Amino acid sequence: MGRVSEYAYISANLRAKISRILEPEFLLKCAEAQDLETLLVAFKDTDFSFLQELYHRTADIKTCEKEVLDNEIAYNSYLFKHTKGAVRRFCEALAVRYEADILKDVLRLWFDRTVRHRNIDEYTPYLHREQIVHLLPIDPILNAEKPETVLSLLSATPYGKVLEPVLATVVEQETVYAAETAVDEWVFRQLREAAEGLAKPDREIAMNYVSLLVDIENLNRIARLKHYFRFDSRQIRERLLPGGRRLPVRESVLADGFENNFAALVEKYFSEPGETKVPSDASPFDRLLLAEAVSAEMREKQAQKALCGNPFSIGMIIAFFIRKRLEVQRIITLLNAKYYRLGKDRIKELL
Amino acid sequence: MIRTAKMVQLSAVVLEKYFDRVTRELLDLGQMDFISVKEVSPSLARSLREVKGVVSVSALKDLRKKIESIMAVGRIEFPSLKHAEIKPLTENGLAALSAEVASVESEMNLLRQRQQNTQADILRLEEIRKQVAAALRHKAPGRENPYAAFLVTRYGSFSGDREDLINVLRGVPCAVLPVSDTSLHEYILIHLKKDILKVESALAETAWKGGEPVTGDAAVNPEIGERLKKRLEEVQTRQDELKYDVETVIGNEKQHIKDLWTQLRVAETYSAIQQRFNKTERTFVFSGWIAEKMKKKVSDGIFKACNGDCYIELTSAAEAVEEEGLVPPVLLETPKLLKPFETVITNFAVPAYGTINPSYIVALTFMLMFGLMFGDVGHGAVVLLAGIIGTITARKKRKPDYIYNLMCYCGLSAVFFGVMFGSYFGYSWLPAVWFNYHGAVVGHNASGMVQSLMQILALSAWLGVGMISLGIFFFFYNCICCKKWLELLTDKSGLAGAVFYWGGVACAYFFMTDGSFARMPGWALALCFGLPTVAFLVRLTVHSVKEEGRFKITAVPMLIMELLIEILEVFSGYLANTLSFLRVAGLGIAHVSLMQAFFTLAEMVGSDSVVKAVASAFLIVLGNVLVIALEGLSAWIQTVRLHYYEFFNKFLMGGGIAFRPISLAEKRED
Repeated sequence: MGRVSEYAYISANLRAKISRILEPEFLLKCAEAQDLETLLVAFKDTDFSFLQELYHRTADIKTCEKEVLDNEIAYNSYLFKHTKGAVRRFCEALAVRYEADILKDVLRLWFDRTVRHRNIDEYTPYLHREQIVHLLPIDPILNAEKPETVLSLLSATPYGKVLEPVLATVVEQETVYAAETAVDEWVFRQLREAAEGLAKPDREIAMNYVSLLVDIENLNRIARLKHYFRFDSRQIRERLLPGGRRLPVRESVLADGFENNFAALVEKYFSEPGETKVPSDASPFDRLLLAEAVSAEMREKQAQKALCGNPFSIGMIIAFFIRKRLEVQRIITLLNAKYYRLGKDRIKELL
Repeated sequence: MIRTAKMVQLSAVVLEKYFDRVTRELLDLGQMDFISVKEVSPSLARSLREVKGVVSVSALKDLRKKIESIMAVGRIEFPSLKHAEIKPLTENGLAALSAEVASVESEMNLLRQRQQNTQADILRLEEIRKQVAAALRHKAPGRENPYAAFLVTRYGSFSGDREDLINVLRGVPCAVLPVSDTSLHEYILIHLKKDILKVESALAETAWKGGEPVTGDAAVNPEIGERLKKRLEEVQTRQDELKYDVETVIGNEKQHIKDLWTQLRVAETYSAIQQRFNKTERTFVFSGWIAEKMKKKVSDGIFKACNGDCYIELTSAAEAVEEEGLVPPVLLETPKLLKPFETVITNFAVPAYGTINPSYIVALTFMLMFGLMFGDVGHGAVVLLAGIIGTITARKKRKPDYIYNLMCYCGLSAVFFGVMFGSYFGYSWLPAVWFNYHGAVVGHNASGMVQSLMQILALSAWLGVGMISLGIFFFFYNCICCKKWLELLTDKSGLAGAVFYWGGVACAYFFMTDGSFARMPGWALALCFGLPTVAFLVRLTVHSVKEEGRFKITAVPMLIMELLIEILEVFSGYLANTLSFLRVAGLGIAHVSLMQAFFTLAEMVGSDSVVKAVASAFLIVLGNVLVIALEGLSAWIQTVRLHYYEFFNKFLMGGGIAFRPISLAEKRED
């Protein structure tokens, strides 16, 4: 099948869908809304107009948030339906990221209930339970008492093997971090393999995107591991993923103490003229915000690049994934910020 | 009318005591597009103070938006401001309105809280229902069921009210279901194994009497699944009732809310006008654009409001442009009936001030092109009907209806051309008034002045020549209006381009009819192509001199290069523009051919039995539906395209700023 016929339908459809994605400027304007109900009126005539009716029916912001996420996830099955072979495998690998996020949430809740003995009832109704790529037995996991039960429940999925070496340590070390990392590493492996399986022009575009995701993940890890886990340079370096193009993970380049000046690190490896301004001294929260901002900016650039490139390539799918994710993240930020009555300036900062 | 409306700049100084009366008058008239005094006279502006209305516009806007969010929940339509009483608002008035809005809001919030609790119940029940459903789905004899392993069912009795029992267990994901429809105090309690201790300790504080908890596969059965579903429906109904209650709270205040909105909208516009004023010690100064034909009415209005104690200065747009460097706004005085065509133009660009207003011509050409491509009485009638329905629906919803208005016009045009072509749902029920399009395409029963495909193509090519020539004439007119003499003489849409184009058309005509250019004298050929070449060179040279500051001999090779490219561009541009109009014929032919294809299919099916006759009729109906949908859309797109790319770009000098007077009729800002 020629590239044009392979991508013609899906590209045209995605381009139409991309044109419906809300511009950041519109969302910044929405931040001016006085309260949640006024914000929801602003979504009239957009793809999020359903939120007004949903909130009117439930008065529950988390239900709204879940619906937004569910809608985003539903696009995956749309992509599966209209792609074939290696392209479909790559789409699946992209969709696995959503699944992995859900699994990580489930593991965190299971951990909170069994190890920290916390009440998780408030959160469980909002988990996405429909199958994305693999069937996750979410409720049995949440109700399992031991790590072995969790592993046996996941044995029918690739996650069983992924978590086998680490799940026991989760209870011992009283942190779910090792399990999360293992899942993430597996996801990135899947992505890389799926990208490598694509035909040549697509492969390059997809590999670029995967390496961007790796860079973003590594940046996030550096931002978190230093302050939230008190790891030293060596420990952080060990946990960085290979395959990024911007941030080198070799010891010879990332010398001891590299994590202490996060701002300089961002400036050196991620800043280009016109990109996010880096404050010289960043607090842990600022570091995360900065990592988020850099991530959003880099993804947006990647999407822009993909949109300007060959329309009959994997680029359009990648651009759609990026833009949709960014849009959904911003919408959720807006909804929560308005619900919790954050100030307009603060919301704009978060957006 | 043929040009954009003439504008006048009105500047006025009024005494402080007439501030409110003048504001009221200006709002009532709704004719002034204000300009900042800073723009008119920066030196004067330095000695003036800005005016802050009694109530800030942003405070009014915020409150209005809050009301609009309530109106959206209550599905209340925006009231008309036509007869709204113009009344300013004081700080106290705003506080009172805020309090009224807050009171509606607080009632809503109480219900919202109840909705939240009910939603939590729904989610809990839904979770249990899903788990029971999964457990039932995975139930298999002799095999451990992981989905049932964490479910617990208890049977027991509770002498009190079921709601009391539910309240005791609130916060724990569980379902309290009656054992049967008739049982009053016997219940099934389903919860998760992990919550066993929580449930037992909660039940211990009540009069619950029950047996041992049942776990695993035995804990679930289809009856429980059904009861859960029923219970969930009950709670969802309660939630729907609460939603209805919210709507009722708003509905009861409907008129009041509408009045509040009207008051705020009026006050907001009133304050918006006052904020455009500037202040001296005892006077107020303001300036703005008004249509020239309104100058007497507006001046008299201000004069009357001030009892003659004011100073009004009227400056023509030409003077304002020359002396103050202002850019007058553009008002296209298109009659209301033709407004939809104005939108077609402004979607492309707002014409520059003082240039042609092509609305009337566009109304004609738009309908002409659509009709030629889609001429059929039946199909046109369907489009017209769809347009009427769309217009009514859009007006009801207070949404823009211009697209539906255009559909009405296009439908009418298709009906007219259908009569001209004698086409009624593809049939020739009546003879054609102009020519039989179907006959010309299919090759039989052709009648009238056009009888073959080639003649249809020639007709659309001449239409193209006509449209492009019209565009060229409009460009001449625009250049004369704007005194752009160089462009008039040397531009590719100016005289030079026109001579080039018409010369080309003549050559093409002679070549098509005689097979040679022999009838075109040599001197005419030299004039048609030599003169424009010289004119283009002059323009390029003038531009080069303007850029460089003087003529440079080194620029000559570049000028020659540019000239060659320009000639090539003008030639290929005009050729492509004209040929582009062949799509009018193309679409018309496709329209006929598609109908013909369906008629042939229907004929092949035959009508010698009832089934065949029905199938044949179905094919004809299907054909008509497809042609209306597909061809209608194509003809629409091509009509818009031909106007935008082949017609407007010949003359429409964009860059105008739309005239936006502050008035109550102004489009509501979102």
